[in-house]
Amino acid sequence: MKGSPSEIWAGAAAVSPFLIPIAVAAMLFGSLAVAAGLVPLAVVVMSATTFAGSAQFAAISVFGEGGSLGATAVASALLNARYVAINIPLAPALPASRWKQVLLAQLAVDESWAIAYRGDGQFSRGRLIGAGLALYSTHVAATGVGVIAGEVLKSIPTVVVSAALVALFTMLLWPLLRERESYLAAGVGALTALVLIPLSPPGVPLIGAALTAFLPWKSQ
Amino acid sequence: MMVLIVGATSITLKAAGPVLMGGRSAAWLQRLGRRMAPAMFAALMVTSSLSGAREIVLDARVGGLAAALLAVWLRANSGVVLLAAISTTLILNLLR
Repeated sequence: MKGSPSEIWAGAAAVSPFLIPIAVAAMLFGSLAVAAGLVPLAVVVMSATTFAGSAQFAAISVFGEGGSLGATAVASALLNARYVAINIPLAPALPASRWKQVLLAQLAVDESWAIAYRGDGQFSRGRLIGAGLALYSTHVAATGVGVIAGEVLKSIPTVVVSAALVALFTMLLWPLLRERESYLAAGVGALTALVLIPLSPPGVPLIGAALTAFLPWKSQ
Repeated sequence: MMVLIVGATSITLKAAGPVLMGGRSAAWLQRLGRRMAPAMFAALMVTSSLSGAREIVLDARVGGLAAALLAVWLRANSGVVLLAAISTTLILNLLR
């Protein structure tokens, strides 16, 4: 039953409503990354290897502010750290071979993870593959289109890049604000970043904000 | 180089859950998963609207942040949120 063609197709069909917004976000990423000063090939390679929209936007945000290589990498790694947690329950649905596990785990992004979820902590391998591959190919192809658009437009003013990133991060945060824990996490993160901006080089305020997620306060 | 490092860490982190933990979870990891994204997105809103060269700068970007928050609060769709933030920032930038 696991990874059967019908499950794969079901996953791809279920994810199809998400493909348009994913394509738009990836195109936006492609053109903003070019505007932030990355070379076109690097932008597409980033989409192909990172495949996590928010971490990619975070990376170009830090890079665009003049953050160092280390600060950029650490900031985006911390944003992706949540995948360690959300991918743990995938393990029973993955093949026994280690390298296949590594490969299939890459297909997990928020949308494919949600579509692969069957309830009761169970995941479908086929649906993960179908949804993940559809999302991945859309993400990489649309990044390429965005890079070309960015190259043609060439001079996107930096304020526009900032404004677009601000809007994106606001849209990413909003649906996460549900209970007290998430409001507190967001508030502490924002405040930490604000305090660290004048005290540290670009990128470090983000790292500081991410580290607040490790603080051992109780959620209730 | 930055791109390769970011890609490699992303691949490692995504694989770490199933491969290393073998399906065993931990309460602190779950908590981290719930808290990391809100903390980071809120911090990214702050840094991309207020940061200058080691100083807090109040410029047109703050208007863009306010417009984005208002649009999201009004449940506008993502295109409207983007347009609101970009147009507000551009207009304020021209007025400056």
